[in-house]
Amino acid sequence: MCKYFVLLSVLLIFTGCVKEVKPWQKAVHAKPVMKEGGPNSLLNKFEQHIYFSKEATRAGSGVQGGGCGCN
Amino acid sequence: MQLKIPLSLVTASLLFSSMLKAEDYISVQYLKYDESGNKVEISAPTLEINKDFGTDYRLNATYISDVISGASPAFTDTSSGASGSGGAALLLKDIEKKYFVFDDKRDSLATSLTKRFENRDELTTGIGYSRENDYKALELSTSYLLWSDETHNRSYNFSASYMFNDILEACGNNFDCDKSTGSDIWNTSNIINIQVGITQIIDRTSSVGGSVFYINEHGYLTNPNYNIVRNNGTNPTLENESRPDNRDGYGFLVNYAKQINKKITSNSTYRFYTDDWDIDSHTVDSNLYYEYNNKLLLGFGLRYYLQSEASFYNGAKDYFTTQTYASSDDRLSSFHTVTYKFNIDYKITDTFSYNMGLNYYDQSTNLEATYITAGFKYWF
Repeated sequence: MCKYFVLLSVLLIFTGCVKEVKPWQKAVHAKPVMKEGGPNSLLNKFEQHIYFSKEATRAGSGVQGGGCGCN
Repeated sequence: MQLKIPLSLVTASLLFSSMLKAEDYISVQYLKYDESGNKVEISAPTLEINKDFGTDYRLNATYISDVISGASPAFTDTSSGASGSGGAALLLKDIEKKYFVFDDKRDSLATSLTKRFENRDELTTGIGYSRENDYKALELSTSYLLWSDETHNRSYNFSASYMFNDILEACGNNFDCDKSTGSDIWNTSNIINIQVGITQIIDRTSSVGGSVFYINEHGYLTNPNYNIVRNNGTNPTLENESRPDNRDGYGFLVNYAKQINKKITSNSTYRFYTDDWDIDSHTVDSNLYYEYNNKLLLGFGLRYYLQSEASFYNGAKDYFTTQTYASSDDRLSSFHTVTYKFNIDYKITDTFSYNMGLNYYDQSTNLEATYITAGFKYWF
């Protein structure tokens, strides 16, 4: 049931709620704060590395991430 | 009306010129990470260079140099003061988890080259290399950004990477190794990571993204620095931990970014992960940005992470008997974490900005850490 709700929500987002945005209306979207991972890619890499070395799960935030021995 | 049309054109051309401006920059950052109880301390200076070549190529390179010092937990025979040896008769009451001091240094270099095509689709290929005293990794990656139409309101992203790992199993840590004649062993493992995503602009101020991912790790996945206590009916023994040599994980991630008003923007992500080691995790990462003016940007973040334990994990010293797979590494246990984040970014000129950050990480396994970041970015 839950997964159908998620699917339905996604469909609603992609069909009903989406408005066509012209290229000159994308000033907000060009801002770094709108990027997934935030405005500073290096700080995001730091964070992901800390989480990856202290927790048991990874993946989802891009495929290039490096690794560690993680004592 | 006559005035509005030229103004719109001027605005559009200015916006385009700004959006298409080359993103050539150098970023220098420094991370200082401290765990409570002096368990682990990390100093990590980092350098990133991003350079556009014309409008069709972009080169990015990142170098990180970590200096790590601290203490790693292991079961120890307190009667002898040593971490024991396989098969030796021990008493359970003498076995305790203690911290052993270690020092390490990590050098990591990652580069990527992006090719933009006529329709602005992008192909990125990357290579990364990381080296520590007891670990080496080589990673190859590629991703393709596909715009669904000319309006560029929706894009698809296909990414994949392959990582080759070499892990040092030191004879001194290996209970199966004869200390007088044995030598260190380099073991290998590989990681395949695949991700497919979609990003959709909803309106002028909001966008949503979603992706599904698959990750496979195979080879030597045991941590050579961790041990367990086994008790199969006679006396307890200290032995190497042992993990399965394959792990399949997959999940999905959704992201929603919204400019609430001209000063405040929210950017939130939810990730679900599950794997065949019986570990499930949920992550909610929510960030709020406040643009005080054109120069000062404040960032406030809150991250919540919840994880279930691996099927072969147990932290007790009287649990394992003859199980094939066994680990007492607390990172495979069931826990939750909360991270509080605060960042300041101050743009001194159009080409130079400073940033500072203070973060606090609280894990329910009694692990607490504070990390500060400081750095600058220069556009050229």
